[in-house]
Amino acid sequence: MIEDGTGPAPAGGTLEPSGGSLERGSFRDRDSRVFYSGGRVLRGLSEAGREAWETLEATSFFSRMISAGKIVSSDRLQPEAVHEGEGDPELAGWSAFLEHARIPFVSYPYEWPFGMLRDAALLELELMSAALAEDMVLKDATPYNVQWFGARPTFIDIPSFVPLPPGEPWAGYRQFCELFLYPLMLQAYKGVPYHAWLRGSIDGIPPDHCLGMMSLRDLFRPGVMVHVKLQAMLQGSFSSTKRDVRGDLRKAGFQKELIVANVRKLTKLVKRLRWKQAQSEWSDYAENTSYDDAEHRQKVDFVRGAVTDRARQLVWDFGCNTGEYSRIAAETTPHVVAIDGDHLAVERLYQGLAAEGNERILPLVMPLNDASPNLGWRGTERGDLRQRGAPDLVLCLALIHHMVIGANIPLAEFVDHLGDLGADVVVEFVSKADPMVETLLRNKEDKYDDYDQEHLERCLARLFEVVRSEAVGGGRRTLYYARRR
Amino acid sequence: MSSLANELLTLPLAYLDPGTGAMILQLIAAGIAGVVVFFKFTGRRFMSLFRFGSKSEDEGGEE
Repeated sequence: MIEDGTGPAPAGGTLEPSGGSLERGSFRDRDSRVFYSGGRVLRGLSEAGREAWETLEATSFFSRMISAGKIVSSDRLQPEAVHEGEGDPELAGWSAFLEHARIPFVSYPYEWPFGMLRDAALLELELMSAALAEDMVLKDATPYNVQWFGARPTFIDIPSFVPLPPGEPWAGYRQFCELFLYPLMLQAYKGVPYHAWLRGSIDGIPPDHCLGMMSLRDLFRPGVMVHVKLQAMLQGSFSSTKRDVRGDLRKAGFQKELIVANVRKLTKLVKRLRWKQAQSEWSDYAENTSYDDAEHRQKVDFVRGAVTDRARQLVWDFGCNTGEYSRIAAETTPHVVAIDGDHLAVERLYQGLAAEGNERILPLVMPLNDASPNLGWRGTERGDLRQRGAPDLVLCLALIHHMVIGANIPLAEFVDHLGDLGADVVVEFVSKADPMVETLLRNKEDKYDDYDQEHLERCLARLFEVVRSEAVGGGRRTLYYARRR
Repeated sequence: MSSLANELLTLPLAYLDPGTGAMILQLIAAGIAGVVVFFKFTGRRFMSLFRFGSKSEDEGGEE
């Protein structure tokens, strides 16, 4: 399932006998397993997995999709390279090995805005369609098999491609519904964000749960009657059947063309799904409403100075909003993860990045006071943010008042959290005199004595060396650039 | 089941349970293309297919 790690891809060489580590999320498919060795992303293939790879490698769509960046570049390792690694127990017992290009920063569907989940679904269907044309199929259909280079999706789970046995239905269809289609329908038809559902359920939304959220009116919306209502009913009536449905389907004449037709119809359906709010409501989204032009320029210059102060590989932009400062960071940094709790803002950012083909900025949506935790089997199947790569700079612009006053997080703890990340930081302190903070406090009792500039400076000084600070907007706001000690 | 069919079922397909209902639904989701196969598959049991709690789909063998 989740396959790739972080960082750049070193080329060639032999496997290192030790220091390998398993990708904890890749256990489900017994025909392959992903692990990391010496900074490289490797995959062991079983006998069946190796045969499927050999078939895949001979198809024309595979090389075409790799060239187009739609499948992660993957090479089979030479046997002597594998032989070198036999001292490592994780390398034992596999029939063949692949090496994959590394994904800059792993992300999960419960962190993607609507447009990203939709584009990942369309990629999945496009690959299905191309595979079917050459008598192969994707045996599963999970968004966890799609990862991102900035705003470009790429499919990472090579062993998902297998030859399609005659008369066999698409095993991944239900999974496609539960992890792609229903979440998209929820957002498009009901205005319900799917992130909490997907974070809460690693296998997605079952048909009967999805049906429970649909009104009579919704049954007449595209796809709901067939993919939700009928599927829920059939699942109910066949859940404990003893009938050999696969065998009977084959005898009845099930053939590839039916999967082709289904995939074609699903593609049309997903393309029609739109998040209407994202299309209409887009005003008043400039973050710096209390800044004038000169102050705004001052802030831009300050951030640019901090970003370029040292060579950076990975910058996190906490509270990225429309991504203006993520873009500044990306001028000189290969990878930027732009995070905000506002789904609409991140959706807009993604649409802009996708339109320009940006491969540096990965836009993610999550509440910053409740960021993605460790999830799944043994709490290691999906990692929290920090496990997926350490930033060397974290931007916290116009954020701290939301954390302390909006989410009641003690200021000292917030700074400690930044310290735990081990990165340099840019922090913007927004004073209580600022209209943005006044708005946050309008309906709350001001118990936030710790929300104080001097207190912030003391907290920063414990963990960081403040290199530069500047007052902006007549002192209503102050910018700090601090290096981790 | 024939040995060929048995062999096909052992191909590297399903670490994933495709879901019985979801397999049958693919006949419907395919639209026109699936109609003939759908009626061959359901035969006389067509009406009982969508009845919750019905046992009838488990009964009998070939139509």
